[in-house]
Amino acid sequence: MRIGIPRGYFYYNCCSFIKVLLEGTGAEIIFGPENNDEVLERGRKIAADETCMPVKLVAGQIDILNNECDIVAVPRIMKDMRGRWLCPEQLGIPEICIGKKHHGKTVVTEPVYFDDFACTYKSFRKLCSRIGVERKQYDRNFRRAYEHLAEISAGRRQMHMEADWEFKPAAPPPGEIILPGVHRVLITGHCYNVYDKFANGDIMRLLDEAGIEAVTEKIADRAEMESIFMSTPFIKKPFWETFARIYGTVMSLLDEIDGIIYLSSFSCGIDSFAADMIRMHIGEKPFMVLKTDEHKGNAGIETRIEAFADMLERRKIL
Amino acid sequence: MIFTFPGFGSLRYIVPKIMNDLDIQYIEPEDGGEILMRGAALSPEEMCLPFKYMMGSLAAAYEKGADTVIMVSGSGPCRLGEYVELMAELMKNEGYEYQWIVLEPPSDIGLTEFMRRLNVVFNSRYSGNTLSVIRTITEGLRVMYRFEKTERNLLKKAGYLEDPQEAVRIMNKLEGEIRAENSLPGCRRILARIRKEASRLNILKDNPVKVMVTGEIYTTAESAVNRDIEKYLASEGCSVLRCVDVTWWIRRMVNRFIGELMPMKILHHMKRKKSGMQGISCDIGGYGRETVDMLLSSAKNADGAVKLMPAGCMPEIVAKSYCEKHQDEAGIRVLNLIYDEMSGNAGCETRIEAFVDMLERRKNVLAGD
Repeated sequence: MRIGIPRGYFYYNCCSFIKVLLEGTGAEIIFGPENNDEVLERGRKIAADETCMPVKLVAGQIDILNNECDIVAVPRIMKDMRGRWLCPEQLGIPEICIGKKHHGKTVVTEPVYFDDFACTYKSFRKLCSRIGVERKQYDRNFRRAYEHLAEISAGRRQMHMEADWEFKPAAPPPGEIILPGVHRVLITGHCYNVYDKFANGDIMRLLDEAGIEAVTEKIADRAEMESIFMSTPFIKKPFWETFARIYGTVMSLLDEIDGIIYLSSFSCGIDSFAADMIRMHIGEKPFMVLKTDEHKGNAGIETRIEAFADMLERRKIL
Repeated sequence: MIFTFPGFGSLRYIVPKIMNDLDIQYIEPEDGGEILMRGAALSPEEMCLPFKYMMGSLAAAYEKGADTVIMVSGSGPCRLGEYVELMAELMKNEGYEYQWIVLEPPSDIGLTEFMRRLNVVFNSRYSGNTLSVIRTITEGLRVMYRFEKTERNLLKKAGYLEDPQEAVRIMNKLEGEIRAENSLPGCRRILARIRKEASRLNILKDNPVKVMVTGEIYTTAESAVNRDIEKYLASEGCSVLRCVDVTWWIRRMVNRFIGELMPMKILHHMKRKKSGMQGISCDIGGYGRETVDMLLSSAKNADGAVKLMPAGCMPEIVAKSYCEKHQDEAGIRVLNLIYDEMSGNAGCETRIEAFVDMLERRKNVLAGD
């Protein structure tokens, strides 16, 4: 049986979870294709106009997977391992992204609260029984998968996506020498923006061309991120998973980097809050918010990155 | 301590009266377009509309001498729960040195913590006996409940009247008088008088167009934000079904608190199942799920529904997508109005007029033959 998993939040954060869960069950996991214009075009027809681009991309992914797979699994993740919420649009992905024609094949899980073992167990149980996994095997696999996820969350193991992801700069033309990256810039934001070439306009390549070494949260220590976030005196502890992660990453890496680029999708509710909070907390560090949307002209991003690189250069001289 | 609070629906009128009676100093929040412009200048660009309004009114109150903000908050995934953090930070940077009292729903922080925070307000001026504080607050809530009930009835009645403007006129009069009055007993007298006046209105028509108004709670309950859409609909000759107001909000919060108890959860589930409503199967934050439930029920008790939301409101976007996908089979007609900082009203009015005309035609012409 072929099971389709769209490339959304779940793919980036819980990819290894689903792999371990379905290990040895005979089910074949098919992840959605890398995002491209066609995915976006299809998604736009299904999702409402006001939704952000990542959600439209998920809609397109579901539409494409619908033709290729026997079952498209759409897990509805509510909270992460530490009991922090995802954004409301992520919670509503089944409502936004599943059209009428998909109803036969898509399986939406019950709400998954990853901090609640019993609830997670029950939610995925239904998905697995639809696939035809036996109870005994499910029990065994689920325990392992959950532990796996807990280890990632505690920082003892790297997320599949992070471990796998690596930017490989293009080989230089013969006769040229590569200088080591002079500036180090942290690319931060939602996982589905940072690791998706299509959504961020291939920013890693652009930065590479501008002579900047781009780092992601991959190099940050999860446990340290968490402790920094928990010890910051907020009036009210923010409850979003993304905010905690981005804030922790930025603050724990602050001394090792020369600047920060915040990738944000247009009309993202969390970013409107998070970007400003971070801007106010980092002091003098260069900080740029790059908003991406469905317009795929890249000249704007290029110009801004060039300006950012020049600014870093100037700061160094001064 | 001189308190201020962000204005929200009829709490804007009632909270000052409670504070008067308890002898607590406060600055009344302002409303109007200038407040919005001011708030928008202080806020991040993509923040939602309620935030900008609140920022504006808090900034104006600071200049009049307020030093402590009483703010409601939540811990769902909606942005409202995070307002206070960003607000405090932004205001500090702009030189407004406020103290913050954050009232979160008791279901999240526990009743004791909730009472402790509430106590800060009363202890500062009023260390007298707790009983009279409780009595005054209960009295205030009762006045608010009656006030909103009167308004709801008038809006509903408007469509049945010979001259719908009459209902709007009474509503304006009621609001004006309540605003000018200082004490709770005075408010009660005004309410009794107006209710008598309202009951004397002659009902002539028998089957007006019924329109439900629902949507994001702040936009729907704040007439300054939605530019009196309910009154506009009423004066167009519709019978307006108001769904979302402060009474509803408080009831909702109490329900959530009680709903944590197991039997209530099951009861609620059974009720949903019995009513046959599908809706969104889980809580997606804010009141998106409730909006969908109300819109689905509009098939039965109204001819059409107007759904309001501020630009970029995440839960309402989900609600909107759900309704767009299911409106045909559910047989509901929804007009989506999205509000932002643009203050021109002609666009909205044209759309509402066209919507009402369409409903009227469906009701009288298409159904007639």
